[in-house]
Amino acid sequence: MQGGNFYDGFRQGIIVAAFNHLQHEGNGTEDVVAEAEASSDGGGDPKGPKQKVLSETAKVGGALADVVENVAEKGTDGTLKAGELPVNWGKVSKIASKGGNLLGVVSVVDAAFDLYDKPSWGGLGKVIYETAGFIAIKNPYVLGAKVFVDITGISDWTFSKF
Amino acid sequence: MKQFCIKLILGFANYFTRKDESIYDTFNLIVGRNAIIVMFFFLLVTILILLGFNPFYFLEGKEKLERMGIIFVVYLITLPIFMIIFPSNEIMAVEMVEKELKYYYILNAIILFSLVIIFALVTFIKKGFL
Repeated sequence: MQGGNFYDGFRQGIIVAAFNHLQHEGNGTEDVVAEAEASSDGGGDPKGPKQKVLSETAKVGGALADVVENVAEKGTDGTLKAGELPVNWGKVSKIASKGGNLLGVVSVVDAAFDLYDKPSWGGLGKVIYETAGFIAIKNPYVLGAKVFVDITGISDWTFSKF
Repeated sequence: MKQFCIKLILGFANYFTRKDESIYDTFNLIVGRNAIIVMFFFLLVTILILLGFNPFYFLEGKEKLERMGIIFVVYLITLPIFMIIFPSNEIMAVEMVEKELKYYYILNAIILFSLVIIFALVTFIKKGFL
């Protein structure tokens, strides 16, 4: 396969994930990533910076495909019990803690904009709160609680009082 | 400087790495780079405010969700740039013990909060309180 962009990695990852699932082997991220990397640069090591970035994006695509497989895995391999959700919680919480960190970047920048737009102690408190969340929260349940507080506007309302 | 940044990346990545994972996994290294990206953002924004520019010009007058969408897209564009500056193979070449990793994680927090405070001070001085 030529190229090696995100789509290539994701597509190849999905194919590998499908084969893995059919065989009921459930390979780890490393296998899919390795497969995606092999597909992106012909199996050789990346040479220049540009190729390196392409292989990185291919890796992310492969890893996302692995996520899709892992979420679907439990629901379709016959182990699902009545009332059980088709989700592998261990892997989902692992991904949630990292995904929460990615979204934390957005929250921190948005809080910084709010502070610049309306400089106040509440704005400063919001930036510190978001930065602390970005740095420290890795527990998915705590992260879920923070997302709830942010989405419902409780945090904005609280900080607007200062 | 680059080695110092790589150690900061590893320190931050280590905090989000579970016991059954490798610190050098793709997602862990992406998370590790986030701290550097946020530090760079605060540094850049503070300098722009000091120079009299409005660093958030492109976010003015937008709704919260629109703003977050724009910020996320800019983040997705920025991430590959930091992957070029701090490539995975160079990060993987650095090995640190647990104690060192924890030290660099704390250093991440100290630097980031210092930059936040400097940014807030500059904003308050330039724009005043509302």
